[in-house]
Amino acid sequence: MDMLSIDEVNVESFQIKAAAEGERLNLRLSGTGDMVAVAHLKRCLEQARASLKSRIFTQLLVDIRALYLLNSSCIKTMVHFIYLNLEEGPGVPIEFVVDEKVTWQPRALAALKRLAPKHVTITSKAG
Amino acid sequence: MRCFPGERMVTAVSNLVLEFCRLLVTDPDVADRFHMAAQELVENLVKYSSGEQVSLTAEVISEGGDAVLQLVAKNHSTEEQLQAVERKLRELTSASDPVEFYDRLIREAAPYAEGSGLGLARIRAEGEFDMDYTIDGTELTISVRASVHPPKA
Repeated sequence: MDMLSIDEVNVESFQIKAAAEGERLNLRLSGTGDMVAVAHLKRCLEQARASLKSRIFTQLLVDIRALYLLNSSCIKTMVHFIYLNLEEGPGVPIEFVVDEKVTWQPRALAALKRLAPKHVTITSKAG
Repeated sequence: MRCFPGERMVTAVSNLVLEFCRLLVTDPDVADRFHMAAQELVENLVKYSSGEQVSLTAEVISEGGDAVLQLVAKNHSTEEQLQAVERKLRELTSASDPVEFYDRLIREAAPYAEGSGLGLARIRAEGEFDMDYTIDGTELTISVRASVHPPKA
């Protein structure tokens, strides 16, 4: 575990890198968000939530531009994270960054925006 | 494709479907939608199969002059599992607004850390596919389909 208290995930098919940028916690996901990835994503988001609750960070950015696939179990893990952020705090804004040329990414995350429209934003950027 | 229902096979099979679709359709977005559907269908096969083999077929068929790309997933399940999935599939396929249905499932699932149950609803809502299913004895067949525009030869 590094100084962010978030373990880096680096398995063959899935990676997560955490970095601090001022008061914002950045999580960059890459690889394949499949059945193998779910447990890693869940653990990472639990650690991220602990950091957010301790008020070290006031914003969260989740960059999925380098993701090749995101399955419904990974989406469900994000749904639960958003639910806890809203219901139990700290209620921080969450920005998802998607590749402007990859149409499935914003489509997959649209349901998260509909779940928490005041807290979730989706931003398209160059990959 | 017919194989044992192993977790390691899931992404490999869905990637094959993606490559197959890329050869058959001009719009990469359509190929991505089938990729997502294949991933969710094969994960379901692995999670809920009680048999030794499962199968996923990807095919282009002609319907009234239109080209239709279809995925057909088959597996055997226990009676209890089949009853549960039939309830879900009946509700899902009869929902008039697939996005609203998917959003409702998400809201209901949100408080729970475990389980998903979103995959099939996602296929209809996000993939905008027609979906059908049959149960014959212990065999469950789920098919999803969409009209496509194959590249000109």
